[in-house]
Amino acid sequence: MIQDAATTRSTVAPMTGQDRLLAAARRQAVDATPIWFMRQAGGSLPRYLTLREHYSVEEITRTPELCAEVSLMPVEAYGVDGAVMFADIMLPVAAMGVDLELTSAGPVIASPVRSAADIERLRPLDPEADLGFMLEAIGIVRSALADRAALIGIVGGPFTLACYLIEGGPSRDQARAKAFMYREPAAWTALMDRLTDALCVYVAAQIRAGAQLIQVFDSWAGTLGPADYVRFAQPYAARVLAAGREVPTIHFGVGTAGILDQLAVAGGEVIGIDARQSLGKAWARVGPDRAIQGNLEPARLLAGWTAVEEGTRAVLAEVAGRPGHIFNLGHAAPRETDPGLLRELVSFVHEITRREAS
Amino acid sequence: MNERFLHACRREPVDATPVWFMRQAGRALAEYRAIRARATLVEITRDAALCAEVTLQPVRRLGVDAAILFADITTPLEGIGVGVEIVDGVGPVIDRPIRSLADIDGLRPFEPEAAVGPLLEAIRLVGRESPVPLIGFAGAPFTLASYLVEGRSSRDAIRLKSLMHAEPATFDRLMAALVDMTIGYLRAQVAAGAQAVQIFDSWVGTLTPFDYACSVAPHMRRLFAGLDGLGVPTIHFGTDSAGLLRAMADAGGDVIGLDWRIGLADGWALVPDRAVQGNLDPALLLGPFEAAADQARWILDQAAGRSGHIFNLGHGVLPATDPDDLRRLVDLVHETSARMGSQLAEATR
Repeated sequence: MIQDAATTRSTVAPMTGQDRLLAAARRQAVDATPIWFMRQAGGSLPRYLTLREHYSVEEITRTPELCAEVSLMPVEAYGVDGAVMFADIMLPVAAMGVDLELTSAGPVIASPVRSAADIERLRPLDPEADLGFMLEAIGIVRSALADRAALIGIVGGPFTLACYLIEGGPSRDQARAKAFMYREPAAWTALMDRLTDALCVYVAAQIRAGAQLIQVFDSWAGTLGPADYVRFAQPYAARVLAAGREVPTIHFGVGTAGILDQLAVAGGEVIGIDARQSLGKAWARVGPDRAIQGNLEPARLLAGWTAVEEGTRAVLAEVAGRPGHIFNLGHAAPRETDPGLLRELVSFVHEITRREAS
Repeated sequence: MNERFLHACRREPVDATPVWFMRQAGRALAEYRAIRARATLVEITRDAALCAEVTLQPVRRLGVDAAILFADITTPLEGIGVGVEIVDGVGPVIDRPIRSLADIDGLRPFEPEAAVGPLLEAIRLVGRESPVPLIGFAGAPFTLASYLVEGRSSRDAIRLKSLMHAEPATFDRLMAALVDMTIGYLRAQVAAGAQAVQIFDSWVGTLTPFDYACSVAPHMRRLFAGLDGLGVPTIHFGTDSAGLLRAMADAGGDVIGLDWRIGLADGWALVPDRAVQGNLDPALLLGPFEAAADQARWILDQAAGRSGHIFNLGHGVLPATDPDDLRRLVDLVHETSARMGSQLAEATR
């Protein structure tokens, strides 16, 4: 297997970061494994911290030039192959008329959804009018990138957004959201339909503005068992992913080892997996017709280079040189991660996969 | 004595599927809340009669097939010199989190009678009165270490994991001390009359399979080896463990506990050589009973009458649960599985 991949790779001319990421998402041959990090924009980059002395996260997000600058920083600082937009998954929800505050612990909703009437009040999303600032930022990033990295637009999965709306904030077990789902299935459907409609038009608008891949973060999908996932979350995730089908879509969730088959059925050219499952086994389950993204344990980034290198080698060993792997963490980088370590990791993954190939 | 539960642990045939609930003794029961109005959780665990009473409450009220000792997973830590406070709404908070090798070397050896005497006495009291077997329990070393190092419950145990990667010798020393304590704690529970033990690795699901195999499994194997020869079944349970089930089973456990995030049949297929316990989503009991009943029947369908299934939730009972629904669920599991069993018997006759 490694030899086959090596033969393919040695014939591949050096690629730009953009082409490398797009090719891997389509399971085509690459010159080296592409890499980017969830929550790479922001974090502890010195230039970002300086910017934060003058502006709030909210101000940065809503000012296209600033948002673009922050989204571009990791491309320059780390040399990643993907530039993910500096955006919160709750942006479209806020634009639908929900009063929310973004805190370091996650979004906090002033009046959580408790009834069908609360759902009626959610406005349909007009991305150009409501989220024009983000679409403009996407345009700026895309021109500034040239082909150094591919631009990744993001949206939350409908289930995850519904959880925040009902819980009112972060929750470990989503018990309140699930109770609502079981008690009021009709209201649940109405809520999910409204969120899904908004996410679909937002995805399409991001692609028109220049996004070259879309990642759907259904972070809380893994709190559902397989039967409930299929009934209450999967159809809506499938619609959002279908709305992005012009570009490669990445479908990501946390704690999904028990529902991975069902998650893959919902769609995604690339399946993003967290660190809690073996990449090799996960790939075998979703099948060779999908690319896979992951899955270094983020905690290793707090333990220094030796730990990072060991974990990285273990991930790459599971990939075994197959085309269609995008290197990433299993979840977001811890905020206190040393930027120097991320830069070293990018070079290491590029170099070792290039060397394996020759 | 109703021994359905013990038979299922050993994968022997039963007349109906046994059922009990994690955290069955707790806030969902009005009689528990009445006791809590005058005693803290820690006070209950230090009063043998009160602890026995709380342990028996769900047996009377719900008709479950097993009792589980009422205690917190941090209860034995005081016995090795760790100060713990249980804070409402937060959970256990450690006075002085472990940060160094010196902190670990300062831990005392665990002396069961001195450390948890009233709890052991409670086990003896329950043994005299209970119509069903009593399950002893302990937290697994990784989960205990996450409290000790993080200082409190943490979603991703990131500080403990970075210690594990950056200072493996320190991590191993801490895990070894906790394994020693847990072996002593569980052996004392069995000596006092516990007829099975469950090891809760609530935070194990934050680990990668690679890290579990390299850094945690060796300690778990030593823990299970330390329980060998006791003659009681062991239940090994973790949450968010779908990616780790085989590795956990390889470390030990006659019964593997499944949380609700994996289909029971899929989970059992990974550990076909063991009994399994689970796995109804506890949140279902906050909805209409019929939704929980549907899923309970689906779980029994997946078990398909095989010997070695113990019905449980996929995690602890949520405090807002109506105990009448728990009682109805116990009846439903017993009746449905007994009916399935007799149909199976007829079909094979």
